[in-house]
Amino acid sequence: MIKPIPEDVEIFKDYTIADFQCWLRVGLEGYLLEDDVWSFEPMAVFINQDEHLTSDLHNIYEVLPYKLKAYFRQALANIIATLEADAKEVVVFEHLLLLASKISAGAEVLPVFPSRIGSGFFGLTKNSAGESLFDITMRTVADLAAPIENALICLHQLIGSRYFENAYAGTALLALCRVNPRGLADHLNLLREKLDAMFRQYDINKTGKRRWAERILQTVGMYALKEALNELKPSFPGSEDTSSDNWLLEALFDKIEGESPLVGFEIQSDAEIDIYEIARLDNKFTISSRNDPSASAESTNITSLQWVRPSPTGYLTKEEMFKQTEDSYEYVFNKPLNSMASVQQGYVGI
Amino acid sequence: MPLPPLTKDVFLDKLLSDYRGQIIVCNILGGLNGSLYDTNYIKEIFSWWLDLCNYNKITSSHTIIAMLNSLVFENMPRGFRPHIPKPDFKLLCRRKTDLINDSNKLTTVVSTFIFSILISNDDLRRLYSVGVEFPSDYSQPMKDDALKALMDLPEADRVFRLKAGAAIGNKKLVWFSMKDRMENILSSAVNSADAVRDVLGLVHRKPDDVIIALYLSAKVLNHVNCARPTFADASTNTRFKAIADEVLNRKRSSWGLTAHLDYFANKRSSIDGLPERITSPIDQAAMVDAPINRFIPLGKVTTLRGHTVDDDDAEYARRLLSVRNIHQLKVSMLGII
Repeated sequence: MIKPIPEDVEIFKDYTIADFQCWLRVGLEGYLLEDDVWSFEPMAVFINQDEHLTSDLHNIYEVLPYKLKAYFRQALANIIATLEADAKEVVVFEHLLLLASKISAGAEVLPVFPSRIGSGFFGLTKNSAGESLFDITMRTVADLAAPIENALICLHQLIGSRYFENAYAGTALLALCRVNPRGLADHLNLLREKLDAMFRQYDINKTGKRRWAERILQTVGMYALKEALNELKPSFPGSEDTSSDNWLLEALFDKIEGESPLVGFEIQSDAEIDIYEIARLDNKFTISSRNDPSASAESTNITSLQWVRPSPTGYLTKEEMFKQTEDSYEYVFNKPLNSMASVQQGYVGI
Repeated sequence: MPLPPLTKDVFLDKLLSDYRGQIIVCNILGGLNGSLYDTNYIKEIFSWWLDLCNYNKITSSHTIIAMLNSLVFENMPRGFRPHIPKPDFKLLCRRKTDLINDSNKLTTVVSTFIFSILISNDDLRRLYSVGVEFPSDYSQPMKDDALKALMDLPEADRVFRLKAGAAIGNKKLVWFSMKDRMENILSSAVNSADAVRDVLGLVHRKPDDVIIALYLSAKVLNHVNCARPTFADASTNTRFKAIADEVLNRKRSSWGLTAHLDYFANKRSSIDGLPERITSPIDQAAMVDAPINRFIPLGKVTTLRGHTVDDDDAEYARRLLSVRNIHQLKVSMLGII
């Protein structure tokens, strides 16, 4: 594979955004619709060198000077905004989206996406070539998702689209969490039913759900998870409500197939640290000391909970727990324990 | 003032001034000695190559080398030799390929990105539902949790169908080896991705690339063209070698041999990797006899190849040159073209 070097792109030195727009569009249409690599002149020789056309274009982009890189990204966004929604252009649109991911053009592309989602090209996805368009759009937005308001708008539009497949629910949730980690409860409200449908449609077991929970935790962090905890929607035995966040709560706080819970609690009493187990009985939580099972929450002067992330090897030791202050957050029970439905079972061990 | 067109002499000088050009020329001459093609083939391809460079006013060494890829795999520019159809330069090795029993499987390696655009939407959605991601962003390595979801896929889920309109090998070729040989490598590998990258000579695979092996039924060979690879098929692949190092491997004349990157970096006398062949792109129609196939996630490449004095292009060119020098290569080529 031969990649271009900076001297090869000197020909672009006086290019404007409009010039790049023209070059890119003519090249893509020539190559994808007419099998004519020479549409990419004067860079045609560097096309079809790498594993995919978008990889070749990424290689060209990589050697552009800083200013021209910005022009290139804006040109890409302009084409995405203006490409005619025509069946033959679907493949061009798909390549533009993949290229946007490859060159991290979120700041330029995400503002123009909303006008294109849910209309135009997406109405053309009945044919087999177009089937992948929604998927590519979804992954592009997920790739580009960052704390950018436009990413949130795009994701909400995609999730609300009639083309949204249940299979995307987990990916969409993660993307939303990347954009706005502190909005986990809102994201779950948006996707709860779709997640539930995804789990059922694809027969995702507890281990699979735990993996999703682990990724959510990694994406939002302990603090945001703690904030969302009281907003999650549990369902208790006997409830007729089928869509709930129980899968997440179980995945976070239960031992699953011998693996430690993802998060746990340490309960502090006034005087000294003791270790308690929290268990749910119907819709009530009881807290009991491991050392003295007869001691219940009511009889213990509990003032706060420490919420900690167990170490990769299992529970934290006492020493580790105190060292890892970044992963340890004080959690004050500001609600009656029986409303802490989110905590199905919490552990911290020493 | 326009530059004068390249002459054969200047063209060869420029080609041989770059290590990658030296690798190509060594393989051209190696293939000729191994009777993979005749001198007419070389003469023809050089005539087109030189004229195409002149038509496009190409003068630098690396673009001359890159142009070989365009010549072999692309339609020619309108206006270039307009009344002469371009000969097909690929898949033309003279060595006949023997049949492959379907009890074995062909195996080829792709990146997760390519995998994601090859497989059917149903398969893609199934993989999404268990948390597998296929990021396109080259600046971001695949996240560990997404990688874990891929690597932990149960055996039953490691199957795929091709998407309509997609083709393994895209507009070029499919390079394949055999499953039994690959599994021998995997059985003793510390890191499967590094081991497979090395044994297949995939020098362009760099750290953080996540790669996947596809196992394909040998029945696809009934629907595609298949050959032992030559320099033209390899075009700008800088770890191609036309001739096996070991005598035993040379006797298997219907197969090429990959360049083993670890053996090369460690200066082994033989750097023969695995037997390899090529086919034209494999699409849904070619997989009609066995549409559902397996894939094996190999994981993340962790080491870099081709960037030290022990294993870079210069060293590989030196190895192929052996006792010859650049002048001798040029004289040999001028005698042919």
